Amino acid sequence: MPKPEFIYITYIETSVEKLWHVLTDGDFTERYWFGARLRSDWKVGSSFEMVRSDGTVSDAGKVVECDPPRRLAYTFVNQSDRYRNEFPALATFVLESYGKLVKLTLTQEGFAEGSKFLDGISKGWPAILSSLKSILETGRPLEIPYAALKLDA
Amino acid sequence: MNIANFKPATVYTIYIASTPEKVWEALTMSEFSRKYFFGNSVEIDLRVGGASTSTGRN
Repeated sequence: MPKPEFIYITYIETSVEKLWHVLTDGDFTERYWFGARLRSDWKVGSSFEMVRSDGTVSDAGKVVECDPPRRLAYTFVNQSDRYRNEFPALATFVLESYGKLVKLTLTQEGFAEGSKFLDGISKGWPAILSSLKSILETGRPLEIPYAALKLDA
Repeated sequence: MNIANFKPATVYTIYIASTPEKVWEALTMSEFSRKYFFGNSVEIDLRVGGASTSTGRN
């Protein structure tokens, strides 16, 4: 088994049920995910989309696994021209309960050789998951300026 | 070692609602570190080449 190209672990003071809701509810994701609403019926094989506030789709893929509130997996790739030679990569969320907190492990794998998209998600996920942690623990998302990500030009 | 060529094995980024001064304090003060570092006391001589130790509770 090849290793996933990206792995991120964070501990959050919440329950697996609340975390699941925050990961899958479009109204919620809009508040901490750089304004993106996730759109899916979360059935295996269904489409998965990230929708900007103007209604356009930034990223698209498919639901691969949905086992609430423990495991969620979907593929996606950004739809911009910059990534036109790339394909959807598999993101897997594993939620484990430890008393008053949840250990969230996110992996993403299956990128094209020399993927630019891998650079993008590697900088995007830490910001999204930091804001997710804050919103669950304090009720407020983080207002992270896009410039802080330092994406490659 | 030429620091320009150094490639770390692990990179972890987290965004925190705080100030650089407060995070610096949390990283370098032993009283603070005991609260979040499994009770360990971090002692750092804040000079280049200075010693750094992490001591358990016992």
